Amino acid sequence: MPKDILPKGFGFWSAALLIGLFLPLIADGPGFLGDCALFAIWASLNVMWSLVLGTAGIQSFATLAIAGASGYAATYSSLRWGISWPLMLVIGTAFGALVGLVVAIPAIRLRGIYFALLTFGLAQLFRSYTTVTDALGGARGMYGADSFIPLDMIGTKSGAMIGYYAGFGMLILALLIYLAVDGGRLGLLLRTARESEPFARALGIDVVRARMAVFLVSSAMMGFVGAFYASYYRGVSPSIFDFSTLLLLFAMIVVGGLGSARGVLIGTAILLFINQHWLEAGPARLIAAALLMYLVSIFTDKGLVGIPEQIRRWSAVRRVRRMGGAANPAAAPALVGVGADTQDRSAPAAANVERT
Amino acid sequence: MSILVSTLNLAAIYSLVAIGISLTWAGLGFLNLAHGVIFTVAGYGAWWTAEHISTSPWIVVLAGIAVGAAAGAAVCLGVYLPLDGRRNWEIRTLTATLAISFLGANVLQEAFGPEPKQLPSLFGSGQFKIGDTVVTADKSGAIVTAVVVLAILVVGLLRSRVGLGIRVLTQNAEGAAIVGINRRRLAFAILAVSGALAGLASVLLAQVFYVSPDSGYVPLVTGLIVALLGGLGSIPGTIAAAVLVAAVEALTATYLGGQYVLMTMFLLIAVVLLIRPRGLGGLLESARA
Repeated sequence: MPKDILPKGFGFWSAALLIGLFLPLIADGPGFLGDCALFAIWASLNVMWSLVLGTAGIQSFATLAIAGASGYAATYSSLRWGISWPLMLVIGTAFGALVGLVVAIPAIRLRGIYFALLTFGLAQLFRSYTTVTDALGGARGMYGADSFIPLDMIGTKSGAMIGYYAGFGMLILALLIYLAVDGGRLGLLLRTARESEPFARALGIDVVRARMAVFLVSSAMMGFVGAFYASYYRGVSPSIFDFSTLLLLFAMIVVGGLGSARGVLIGTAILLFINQHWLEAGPARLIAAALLMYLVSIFTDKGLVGIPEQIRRWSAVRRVRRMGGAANPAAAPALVGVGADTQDRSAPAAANVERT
Repeated sequence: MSILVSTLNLAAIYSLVAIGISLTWAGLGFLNLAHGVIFTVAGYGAWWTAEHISTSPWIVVLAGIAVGAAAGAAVCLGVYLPLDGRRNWEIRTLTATLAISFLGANVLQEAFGPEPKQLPSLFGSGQFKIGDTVVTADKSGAIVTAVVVLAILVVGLLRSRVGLGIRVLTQNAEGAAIVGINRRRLAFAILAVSGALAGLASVLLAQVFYVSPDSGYVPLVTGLIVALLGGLGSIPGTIAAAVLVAAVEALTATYLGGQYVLMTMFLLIAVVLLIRPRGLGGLLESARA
């Protein structure tokens, strides 16, 4: 079998697609299908978030704020003007792009951790605003919006099936957007700007415009996901802006591996499984999730999907050392062509300088 | 007048928490999200001491400080040392400290149960009047203690050798390495001092709010806000930001109602950061991006 003919990752993605298509035929409990729909919602959000966080390197925590606000906009317009669910999705997308635009404007001036703080606060702001505003349902939230699952199918198997395949379709849409942005020209510009902004500017890249573009695209999709969420659950409540939910999503991204769609899906699946499947285990499951997070962050440098590459690098260094190259271990990775990286363990002195 | 007293009381506690976050970021380059759990652990340490050893105020306060310092040193051992200088260091320290903060809150809940614990009163129940405002002993005690400790900290940073090392490290890590400052050894000092300050803040706050497994979240979030608003690494900036945030919180709670505190605080952050993108202190304009 000529391995190089097929595109990279072909096996994983075709397997994932097949499993996704036929899973409901094997396991079709409504609870399980509901978890799968939730997986599709979180994974779509995470894929878009990793576009901002990983590809563009913008430290934005506005994900849930954008999705939640769009969910509110969609629910509100459905309850107020009685619009149907396709229009809800449109409104959600437009509202997400609008919120994204407003959030992105300060990003021109703020850097790194300061932007993170501002966007962190945004979710808290929306949470307290929706809790105290009676027109938006207050602390209980708003329910009764139109849904793509017909009313008489709620709780039935076919209703769960519709939810499952709708979520599946949305996740594919999110992945296609990820592929188009990350694999395309915009992704290349963004990665260049992420590694060195002065260099990117010197090349003539309009860094601000590229970042605005990715922020708008991902925000519009987050808005779509928010409206989907509102339509799936027939409404929203302030709990969507919860700090702990945001942290859970963040953990999903970094456990799987930031900067790869595959890692994001795997991380989302693992943490969602721990969170939903062992509900009866109580705090023990949270302890397990936290331990997993801690171990992954200490022992892997790119999450779970980065492990094979890490092992290759490590064994390459060892091989060179055995050959007697211990005199200059920092040169080892370059020697075997894995990519010279001064931030490896073998070169702590260089790493100290690197970080400043 | 009562607004002024609660402002000072909140500002005292916020600056104790925020200075630890600020020093850790400026000196070691990572955001310690486990600071909230250090705060909580120290509160439990003080409570345990009061239950099993002695209820003398001095011993309870010292226990809180000591447990906080130990927890800070544990974060240094468990996060900083294994990750120092590795690839993707920023995101990994963030995740690891976040994981510890989850872990700590849930382990504490398993060990001690969800119900809040009450600490013995440290400053008695006396009160005095300024004009026609009643100032309770726990508030004035917290303010005085915090001011004294902060003064000791500033003198220590300015006069002691370790303090000198920390100041060099916050200004230029590369330069510090060149003049022979051992960053890994100083990391223990920085994290232990940060933890001790958080422990003290925890004991002081426990006079008003009881200690519970997730009582560290609000101090963590407020501490982050204050530290960033003050400009990371700047102690005068942090104290100014703490006073500002506390004033906004006290004013909002008095005139608008407690549920609006987050909203006004966020507006404050937005305004300050848009005018001064590096916070009030702004000393790190070029030191750290």
